[in-house]
Amino acid sequence: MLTRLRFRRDLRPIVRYLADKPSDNDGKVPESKPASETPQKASEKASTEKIQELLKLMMAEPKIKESEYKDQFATAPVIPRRRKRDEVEVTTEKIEESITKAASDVAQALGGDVKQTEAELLSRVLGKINQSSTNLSDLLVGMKIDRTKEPDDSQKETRGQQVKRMVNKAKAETQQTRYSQRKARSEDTRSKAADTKRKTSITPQQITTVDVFSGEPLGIFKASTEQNYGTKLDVWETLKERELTLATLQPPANYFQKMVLWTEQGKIWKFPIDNEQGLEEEQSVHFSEHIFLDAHLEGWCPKKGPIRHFMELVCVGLSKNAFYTVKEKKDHIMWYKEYFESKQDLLSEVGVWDQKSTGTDATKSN
Amino acid sequence: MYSNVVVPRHWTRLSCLCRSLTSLEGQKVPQTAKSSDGISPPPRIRRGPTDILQALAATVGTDPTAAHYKYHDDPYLIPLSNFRKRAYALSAEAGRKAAAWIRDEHADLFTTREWDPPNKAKTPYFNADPHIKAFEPKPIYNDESKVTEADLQYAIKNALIEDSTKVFQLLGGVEGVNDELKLQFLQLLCFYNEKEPDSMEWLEERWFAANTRDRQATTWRVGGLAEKIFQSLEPKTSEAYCAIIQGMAKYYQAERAHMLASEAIEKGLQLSTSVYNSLLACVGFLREGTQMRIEALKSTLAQMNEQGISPNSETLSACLKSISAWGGGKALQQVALQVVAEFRKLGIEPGLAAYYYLLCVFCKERGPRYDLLSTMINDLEKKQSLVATEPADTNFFITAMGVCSDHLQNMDLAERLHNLLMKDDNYKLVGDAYKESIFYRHYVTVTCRLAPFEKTVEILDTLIPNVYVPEPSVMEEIIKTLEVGGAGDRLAQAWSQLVVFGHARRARLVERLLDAMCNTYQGQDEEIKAKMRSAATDILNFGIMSEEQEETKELRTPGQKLSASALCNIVDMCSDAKDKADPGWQTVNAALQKLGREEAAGVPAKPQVLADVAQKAVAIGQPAIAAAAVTYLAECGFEEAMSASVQVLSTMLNRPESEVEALLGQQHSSLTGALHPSAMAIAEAYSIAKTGAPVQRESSSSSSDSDSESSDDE
Repeated sequence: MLTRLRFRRDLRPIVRYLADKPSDNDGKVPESKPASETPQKASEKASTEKIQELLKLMMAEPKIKESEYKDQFATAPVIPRRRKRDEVEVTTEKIEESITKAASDVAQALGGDVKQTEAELLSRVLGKINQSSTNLSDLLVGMKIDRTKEPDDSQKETRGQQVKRMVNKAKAETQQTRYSQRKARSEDTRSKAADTKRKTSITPQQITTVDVFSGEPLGIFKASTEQNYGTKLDVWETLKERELTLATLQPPANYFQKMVLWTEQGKIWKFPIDNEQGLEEEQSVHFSEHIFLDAHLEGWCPKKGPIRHFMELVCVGLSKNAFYTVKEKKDHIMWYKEYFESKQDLLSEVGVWDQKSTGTDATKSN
Repeated sequence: MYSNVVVPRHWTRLSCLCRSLTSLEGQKVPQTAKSSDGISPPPRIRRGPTDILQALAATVGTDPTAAHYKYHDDPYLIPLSNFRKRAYALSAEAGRKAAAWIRDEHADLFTTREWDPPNKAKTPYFNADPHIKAFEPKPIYNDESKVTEADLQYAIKNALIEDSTKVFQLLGGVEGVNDELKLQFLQLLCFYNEKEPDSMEWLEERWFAANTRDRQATTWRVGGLAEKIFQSLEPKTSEAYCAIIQGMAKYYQAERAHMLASEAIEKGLQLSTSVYNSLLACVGFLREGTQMRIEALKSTLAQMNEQGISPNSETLSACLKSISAWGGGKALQQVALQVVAEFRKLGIEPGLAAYYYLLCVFCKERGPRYDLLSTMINDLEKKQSLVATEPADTNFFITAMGVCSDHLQNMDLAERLHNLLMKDDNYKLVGDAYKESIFYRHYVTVTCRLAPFEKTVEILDTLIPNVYVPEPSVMEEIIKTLEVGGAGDRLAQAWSQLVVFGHARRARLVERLLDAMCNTYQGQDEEIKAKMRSAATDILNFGIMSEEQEETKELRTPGQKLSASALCNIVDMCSDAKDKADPGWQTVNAALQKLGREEAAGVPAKPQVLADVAQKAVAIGQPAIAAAAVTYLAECGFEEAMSASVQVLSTMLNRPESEVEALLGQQHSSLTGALHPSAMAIAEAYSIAKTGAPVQRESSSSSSDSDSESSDDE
């Protein structure tokens, strides 16, 4: 309903516009010449038939060449265009214009309902010339259906009439709709032969097989054994690598892939499992240096007594510490050394700091 | 006191000995030597950290009946529509991101080492030993941060553009950084055009990002930091030139890139293959017109040769990329083949990216159809494994499948292509979720159109819904196939699929489905018929339910209503019940009421169906339904209304039709009270159909037309 109304509203100005076109180019247009002569002779009914015949004839005639066209009409200055398709469109549009002009002339000569006759003529001609275009001509073709009824839409139609119209329209079209085709097909394809039929229905319309390697070489490069890739950009290369991995990265599809991903991201132990992973700085250090720490007591610690006892316990404790590096362990011991030395006065007073024995050793070690 | 037993002086010597012993131990066992007793241990195979994991992963096949590993294996949490797949995966990732955010923002909370005495804590400490880089908080830089060149190096290494820019500023800009670091930074800036790239960490974000093909437009940041750094480098080394040229060319600042290249050549600096590759990829921006562009391409290649720089596989794909961007046509196709031949002569085989661009050059939507794909697939099938060499490789499979489906319409090729993708580790070449779904869209479409029915069904069952959820257009294609195949039960199933996939509100699709169901309904088994009826009922109920929802919730996009034809189809199917108490009649009733209230768009395409239903209903003892159907027919002004009302009444009153007609010819008022209400309704319908109006008896010209027509029919 809505579309129909819009149709009409759209059509009116177009038709009026066409009808108002000046008819002064009678003689110039070759195909309008016979058309403008006929109505004067014949009666109303015969004339319309003749016109249609003539229009058919016109259809059979080849399109006028552009050169001829230019001679006969005042044309806009030719702007050279790159695309071929544009040019074709331009020419067809001009032909269309001339036809509409001719049609309006004929209609006016005929008298009566000028717009209607004109539209009828145009719909016949243009509908066949370019079926695919969605411009003026399509609109005019669409008018054919509405025209059969009285165009007076001030009177509101009942639902019944509405439905009737829609049904009639549908019936007219139904022969060509995909629905009916499909229905027909679905019926006959119930049989087993359905699939083969369907396959053959798609025609392999001229597929050209092209061999990718069939070209002639350009002959610019010569094959040489030496490869020279020029200046290398480290960061650029790594970034390129990064982009490539990103482009092909996928969310893991099972737990193993997840572990692969985590391993690559450095989040889990690398395989094979090694409990010293990540402790690379300690790799060059021998285990004995971790365990036998008494050597660090030499030179400052009393040979016996409570301090010696305490420090040996510290060493045992440190030797079992799996977290400290050797340097940290050594620092730990040295911290005690400094501590005890700072309390030297008190310690020697109590008699736990054996001055003589340590003194000689200390000088030696220093 | 063991220390007292051993002489302390010897400790160092002992440890020395120990060390030498272990180094002996650590020496490699001779790998191929045969020992004297004839036992030869197999040589050790060095394994990388992930080799064994990958071998294990390869033993796990894909299970199309299960959801992807990333989703919870719980029936309630398995996503079945595209929207949910995306939402679930991204929510999981959002959780991970939130955790990472807290770690970064509150790094101080994670810095204690348990075994450290509190006063000995050093900064920065990370709560892990060994220290795991992947878990350490990302440094956050602001204006007060104290930064060193190590920070800049870290940022460059991890491709953090914003961080590195900040650090670079803090270090004092172009004056404060040494040339080597500046060069590295320049490369980073040029590579990403000063835009933060995707993170490696967030897989799902990238997977669902739907990055469409990169736009070929000049996006290079003119006068940006990269150019400033390049200006400040003195003397400008060839590395600097290479970096800036590649950057500009990558972002299509073609003219300046070419200018700088010639400048570098004048200075006698050596460029590189990658520089020429990038220049070739943007050579079309220099000239207008196909011929000129081809000339420019050839001259750039010639220049490359003059400079003594050897091309590689990326040179080939760069040339083809340019050519494919210039449109189609014989000349370009010729050149493309020539380029391929040229590089083949040099021993450079085209990779996936090159094939992709070739397909772009040859297989245009409109135009002659070329079959390059069979040679390509032959070639690729011969290869041991497909290795991705550049990001554009991921475009090959979707384009090739598109060509199979639209251009060549060849099922065999499509199948071979799919097998190729499934082979080994090739699936990673599918790219991302967006490309994957396009790939399958083409695959399913071509299958539906061309494959035998059994094969189609098999493929559909494998792919849907866990691997691929069909979009509406593909769903339509599937329904079409099922209709032609006459698979009624699958059509009934298709409705539940529509609901699950989130397409149930698409009226067009549902109408299509109803049409298909109706067309295949006859000739099905009783059991399947029952299924189809219940599906039809469900469709109607779903429609009613969603309308109610719309009213209460005021959804932004109101759903379209089912058309009258669709409702008619429902009525048609559901009325196929032998029993009066069958629930199908309720559905019929509901559908007819919906029709009567004009809640459906348009009018039924097959009014005869309604007439038949009325007849059936009255025969089975449902006069109200029959009355509703006939009334609707009459209101719509169908010609069938007259005959239907007469027939229905005759069945209802158990009289011959002529007698009924005579009865109806009587005065309207005389009938009132004498008849059953439903019969009365039918009589009224008759009068509407006859006169075109119920009470006022306004007869317009067209309705009297219908009268005459219908009487002619009789």
